[in-house]
Amino acid sequence: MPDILRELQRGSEEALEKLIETYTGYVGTVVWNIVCGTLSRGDAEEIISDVFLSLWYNAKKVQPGKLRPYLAAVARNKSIDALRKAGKEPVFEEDLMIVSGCDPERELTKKEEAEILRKTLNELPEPDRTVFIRHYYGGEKTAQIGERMGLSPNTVQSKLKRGREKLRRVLKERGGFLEQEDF
Amino acid sequence: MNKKISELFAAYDGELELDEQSGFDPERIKANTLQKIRGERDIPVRKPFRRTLLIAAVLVCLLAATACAVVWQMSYRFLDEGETLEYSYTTDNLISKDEEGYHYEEKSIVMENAVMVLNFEGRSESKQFLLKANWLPEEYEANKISYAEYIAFYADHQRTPREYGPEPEAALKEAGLTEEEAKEWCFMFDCDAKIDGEMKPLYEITILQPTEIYQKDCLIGPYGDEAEIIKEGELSGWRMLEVYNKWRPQAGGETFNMDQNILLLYEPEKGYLITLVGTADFALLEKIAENLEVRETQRTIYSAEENWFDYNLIIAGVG
Repeated sequence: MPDILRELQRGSEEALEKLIETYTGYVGTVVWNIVCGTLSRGDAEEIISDVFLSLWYNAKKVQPGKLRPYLAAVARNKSIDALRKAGKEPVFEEDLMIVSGCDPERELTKKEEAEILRKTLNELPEPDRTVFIRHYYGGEKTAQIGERMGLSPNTVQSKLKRGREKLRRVLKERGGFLEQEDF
Repeated sequence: MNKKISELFAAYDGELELDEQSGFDPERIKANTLQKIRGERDIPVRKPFRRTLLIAAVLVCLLAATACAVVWQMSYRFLDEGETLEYSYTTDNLISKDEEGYHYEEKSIVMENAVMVLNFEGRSESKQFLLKANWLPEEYEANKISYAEYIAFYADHQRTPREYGPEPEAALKEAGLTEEEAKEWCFMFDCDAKIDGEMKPLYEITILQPTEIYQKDCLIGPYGDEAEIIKEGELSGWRMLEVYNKWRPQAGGETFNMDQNILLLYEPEKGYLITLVGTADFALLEKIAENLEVRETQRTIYSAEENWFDYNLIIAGVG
């Protein structure tokens, strides 16, 4: 795969075609998890194509070993953009509000967000970590996650709750908090 | 403003495990993607039309204290005394042409009297945005540059490498607009009005995105002597910043009052900036702003820079 990425970075359309063959399933799943139920398959195809278009134009910025994360991030962003353009918001179950701290008017900087996320994820054991990422990043519904990971829906809910608890504790260290949820 | 948990994950750059179950056909995706790439190859690199709309002038900010304030994903700071600011811009001097497009000479300007910089985040790739003003003061006649005029301008200059754009019909299709819509939706509005016996710029409203800016990494506002932050907050869903610019140029032994108000409207998620600048008071500019409509067309535009294209409003001394 590093060779194909290098070829792509040199402007090879053949390399792009191979990458599309390899990653359409992955990118399509990321996109469909987010837009399913709101946008059509045709819309989703356009988004998938735009993801690879973005890869084509930004190939030089993709580091070896980071291609899949790049594709996932772009697919996610484009899917959310497409939903918003259609006047919809992406739906993530139990998507609580993070209140940043002593000064609620102040928005978290990107660095702070990355740090909070990193700390939260690093302190979550598996499979809680994977469940948390698949839901809040990948947009998979809890029932889907349960089916695919062999967990009952209640177990998935419990693991998401544990993830939110971890996030709550990380935020508390910074003077912030999560909206209260019903336990 | 606060964020949801899912929005926090915009900062995530790790692996996402999932079971692939999409059922999308790679051959269709390939065909669609390659068609877009081959279609884009006909588009050269720069659009000089916008440069005629940017006034290469400066504001002076003489605020006493240096300070750094962060406003959403827009920040401003006051430079230290003696600190200079350098920005680059693209000239008309064509250097080379290759399969990636046309490449022009780039130059730099050093702003020795710069005292304040506003920094905004844009997008490396976004859709073209256009404006519609649903309310403008009736007593003064407004000029506008519509999308129809914009593409007609390019069509008239197709032969020179410095200009680019598909033929009007194709441009309309690219943007997803009808002919009527292309006349309605605009890049800018402006209006001069006679005030106190003198013609003054009452307002100029523009919508800017990173690739629309002539200067690659900065946007420069109008001339001025002093500037003051009047208000920060939200207006009709946009992040808003109001800056009062005191400008009293002298010529022929006379002093002229050219004070201007600057209202900036920013949408971080989309990466565009709307500027309303003029001698109109903030109440009028806000009323215009509250009745502005923004439309995202289907035309994709790309920045030549990094993923997050930061661009600056430089407020500097006249010298």
